[in-house]
Amino acid sequence: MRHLLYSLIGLALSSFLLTGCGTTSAPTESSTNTTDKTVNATTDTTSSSTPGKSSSTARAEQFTRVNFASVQADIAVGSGEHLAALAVLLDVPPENEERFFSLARERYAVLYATPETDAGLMLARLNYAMAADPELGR
Amino acid sequence: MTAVFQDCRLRGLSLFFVLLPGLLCSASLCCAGETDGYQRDLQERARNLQLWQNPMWRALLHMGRSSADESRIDSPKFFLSPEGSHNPAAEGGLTLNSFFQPVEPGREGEHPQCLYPARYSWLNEQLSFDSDLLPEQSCSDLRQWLEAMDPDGITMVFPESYLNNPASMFGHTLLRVEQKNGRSPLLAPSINFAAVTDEKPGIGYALKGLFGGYPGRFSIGLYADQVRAYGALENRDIYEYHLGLSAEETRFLLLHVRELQRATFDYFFIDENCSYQLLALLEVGRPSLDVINKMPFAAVPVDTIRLLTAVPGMLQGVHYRPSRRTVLQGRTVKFSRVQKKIVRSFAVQGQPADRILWNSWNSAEQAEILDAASDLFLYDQAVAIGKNDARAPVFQHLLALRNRLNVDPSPDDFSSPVRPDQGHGTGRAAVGLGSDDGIFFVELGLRPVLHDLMDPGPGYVNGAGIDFLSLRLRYYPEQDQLKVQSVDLLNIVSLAQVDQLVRPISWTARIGLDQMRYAGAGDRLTGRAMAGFGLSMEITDVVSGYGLLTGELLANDRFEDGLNTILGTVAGLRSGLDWWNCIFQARAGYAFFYRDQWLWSLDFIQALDIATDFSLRLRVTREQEFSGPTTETVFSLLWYF
Repeated sequence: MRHLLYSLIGLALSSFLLTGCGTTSAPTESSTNTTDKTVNATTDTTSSSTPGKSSSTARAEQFTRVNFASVQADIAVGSGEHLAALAVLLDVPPENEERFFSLARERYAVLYATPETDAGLMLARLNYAMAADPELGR
Repeated sequence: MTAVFQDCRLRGLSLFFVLLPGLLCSASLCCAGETDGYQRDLQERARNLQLWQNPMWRALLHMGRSSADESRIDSPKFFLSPEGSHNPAAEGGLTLNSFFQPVEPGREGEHPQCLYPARYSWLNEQLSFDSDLLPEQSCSDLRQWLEAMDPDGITMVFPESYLNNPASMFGHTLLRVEQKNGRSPLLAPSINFAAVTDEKPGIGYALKGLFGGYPGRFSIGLYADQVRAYGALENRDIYEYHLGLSAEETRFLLLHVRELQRATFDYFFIDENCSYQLLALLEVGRPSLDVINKMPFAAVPVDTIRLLTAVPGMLQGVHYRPSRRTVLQGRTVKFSRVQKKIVRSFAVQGQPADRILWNSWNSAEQAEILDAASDLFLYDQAVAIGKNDARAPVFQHLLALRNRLNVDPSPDDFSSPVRPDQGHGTGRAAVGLGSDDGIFFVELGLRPVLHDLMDPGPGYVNGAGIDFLSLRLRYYPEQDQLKVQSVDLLNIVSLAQVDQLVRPISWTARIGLDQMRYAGAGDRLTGRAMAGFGLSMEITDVVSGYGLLTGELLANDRFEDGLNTILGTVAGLRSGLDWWNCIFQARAGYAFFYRDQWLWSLDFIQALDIATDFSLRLRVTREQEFSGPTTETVFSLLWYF
């Protein structure tokens, strides 16, 4: 009994011990793997933060995949920081951004036609819609 | 040597065609001799200019400014010289020589000029390299990378702790690279320094972290990843401090980050942590900052922000980025109980709890409910499984409903609370006078970091406290006796309030020493390790209540086996304004293995803030430990520094 109590209290305490500032406890899907499993600077920078290193489409797909919930929520309402970032990745000029937001909201039901829709499929549908749009398709 | 030779050959092209091939050998010897002479010349000029003692060179090697300081980089492969970590001149000499190395075909990116671009750039600036004698490598990968980085400035990012996670209450810092043509901060590069480990927090993890058991490394990623990890999943508000570094300074800093890909640092949670290493990086961008020397013993992230913001012209602006939970609270703060009930029912079941009422609302009202329900769904999901899975049917249903309303979202207008760097100082010294059952004493206290529930609240997370290495000494003049009254190795309290929408667990944990009173033996210093869980909730706008079940381990030679266990409970009421805090707390526990008996205490504490860094505190305690009941009163003046 006594040793069981000692063990339980010790276990509870040890789980709270300092984590310091350099790690994060949240297990996250990351496009760059920069939080709790650090990899070297070159690998990181050339993999995701370097626009010139991968195609625009690939970067848009990676961004959408990793931030899937936020991007979908923004598309549902036709505004938001993640949707604005997606516009940049899809090379939408600043002057066409409002139209892009409207189009995304209007086509929400098509873009996310099934719960199984993944980032690649959603972007393919979005690109198709943009190409057919008189303003964005120019 | 190939590149040098080729260059010389070009300069002697006409001779080459005129003279016999046999003379080629002597021509190359002549060029090699010229190059050797130039190398010697550079070495001599570097010595004359005392470049190897220059603060910039030392910063590039991550050495302190004192000549006795060694590099904080612990991976030998970062250095060209075996003595490089402690001999900046040896490293400098070899660095200069390495720049003359020939390029290996197909491995241009591995040339020292490309591997050490900040060293090359700075030495070129100081010594004005002759490109005929020391040809500059194109380093195309590096140039392409730098072009993509498009640097224009630096923002220091401070994700503060999440209320229900004070183990990270020290916070975290990282850098965001502002881009000249950047349209979205989410797509900007971020520079992070972190320990490399897959281990989970625990005793071994903490000890290895405290004593440098993990290697730390710099990495560069997408800022969106940091926003998601800290703001959306850990629910930590983020403060973005835009710093006054120029585009050129930022470019140089990035060149140095590039060369740090070969470097690892022993990671120490307390001092050589993320915040410390980022300051060292900023000093490379601008050596005149000289902030590392001003660091206190512990590199608390918010202190590093204070050091930077104190530099004239360094702080250009601050942007507040609320966490998902803060956004949820902001969206629902004016909701009625019925509205909150419907938000929760939507988040859990995807349906309104009261459909008739729901149908009576207009589209704008329904949109506000659905926006809050989506946030709540993602919040609950992150708390439960540590990530967001958008494919959940409830979430899909909520977004589809929301989209059909075709209503613009209400603008989120979140004004920043008091910034963390504007809160009280992290260190605290206290002097107090008191009575211990009628015996007068003087008390001195010292705590290096960080905050307890009675400290001034602005700038800190409400209801969360973490004391680290807190010490109280007492002197009893009548008995001419000085003793250690208590030591907190670590004391964490998190009273995160439950409400209709969120239901976080409150908890506490403490490891330390206290004087405990034993019948017939007087006061004895006793080791204590305690953990507890419970709930906290708002009672009125300014009063909250809490209750926790606790388990405690005591260590003293009065106990059989030297150990004892207490199971108990603690309950209290908290109230406070920006300048005043009050707690009334009752604690009771049953000690099992020594004079099986109940221990209890009643505490009444008031704190009044009389200036930004000064407060007064009154504590009255009536308690019974392993002796009869006693009463103690302490009145203290506290200074935060």
